[in-house]
Amino acid sequence: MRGQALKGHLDLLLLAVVADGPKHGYAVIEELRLRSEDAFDLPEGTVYPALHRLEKAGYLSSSWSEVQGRRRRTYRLTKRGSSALGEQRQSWNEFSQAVGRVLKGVPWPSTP
Amino acid sequence: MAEYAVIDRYLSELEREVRWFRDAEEIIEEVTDHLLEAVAVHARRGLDRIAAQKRALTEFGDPTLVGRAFASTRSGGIAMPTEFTRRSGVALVASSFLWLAALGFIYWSDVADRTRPWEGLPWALYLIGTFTLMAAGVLLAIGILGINRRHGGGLGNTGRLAFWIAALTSVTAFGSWAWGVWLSLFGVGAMVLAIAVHRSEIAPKTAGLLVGIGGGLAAGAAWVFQLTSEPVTLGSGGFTAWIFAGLVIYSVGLASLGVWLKTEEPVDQPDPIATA
Repeated sequence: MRGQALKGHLDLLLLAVVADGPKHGYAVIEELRLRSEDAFDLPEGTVYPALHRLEKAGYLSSSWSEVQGRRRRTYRLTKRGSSALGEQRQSWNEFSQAVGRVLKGVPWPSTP
Repeated sequence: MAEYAVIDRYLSELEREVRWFRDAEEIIEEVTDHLLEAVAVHARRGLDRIAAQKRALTEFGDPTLVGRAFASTRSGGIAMPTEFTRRSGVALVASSFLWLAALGFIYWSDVADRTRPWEGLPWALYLIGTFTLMAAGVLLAIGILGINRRHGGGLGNTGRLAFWIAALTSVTAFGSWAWGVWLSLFGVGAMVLAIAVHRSEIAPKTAGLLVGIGGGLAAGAAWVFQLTSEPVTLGSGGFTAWIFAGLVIYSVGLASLGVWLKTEEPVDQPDPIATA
């Protein structure tokens, strides 16, 4: 799936991945890749600005630690992020169900 | 990190893209951690050191694209150099020279005015200086518009204020004999622009700082001498040297901003992730 198709959904996906527990950037991206079965074709580097944006919005918090001699930043879901995730999840479910219902319908007159 | 020469080169490029962000150092540390981990994973999967680094970088994305995505988190806009922003960079460079030239013409006309009647050369110099001054103001306004547009309105309200002050300076420069008025506006505008650049983190901060310091010095010198001396013209007081000094600092900053803006490659395709 091209990055353009992710427009508007990346925040939801990142919040969902971090919701399972604190993760550093690489782990977030790996988890996103695993869960989507490599469906999202996006440059990894552009995920970090999105994480920063979510932190700035108060949905994530981050802390630094030392791992293998280098500094590592780990992200956690905040209370605010958790409630935003719940709302976005519900909104996505309603949206995807509505789209699914429309796509199941056969237009008349039907086209070959 | 000689063994990671490929990664090092990439980090240097990315550093150039994000160097004026407050958290530039943290960004580089975070990206370094990611890339080294990715290299280790690829190496475990059988790639040699160079191939593992190249693979990690390919997956991470072009440094310019990544830098712009980081910039978009600051202002909400996407950094998008276009042909207009390139031309506005040229306008800034031209403006930086024109401010100096204009003050030179007006100074020359004032000096000439004391030695001969107000006709001929002094009058011509005065007119040339006035119109040069107005042109410098217009070009400055175009340049500010370019910086702002490059980043989807990234300079914010402070940037918009700087634009309108530049436009107003250009209009008031028509009465260039009232140098206290346009020079004050010029100085305030320079400082507002410097604040906008500093706060937005979307343009070279040092250049912005020079613009603010230089503009402030020029306007400040004008007011100090205005308040402490007899009414003077630009050509009659020692303060002119201070104004010129301020303008030189200002022009160096403005020209640096212009060169930065004009040398960027125009990008036709937006970064889809930055808007996601």
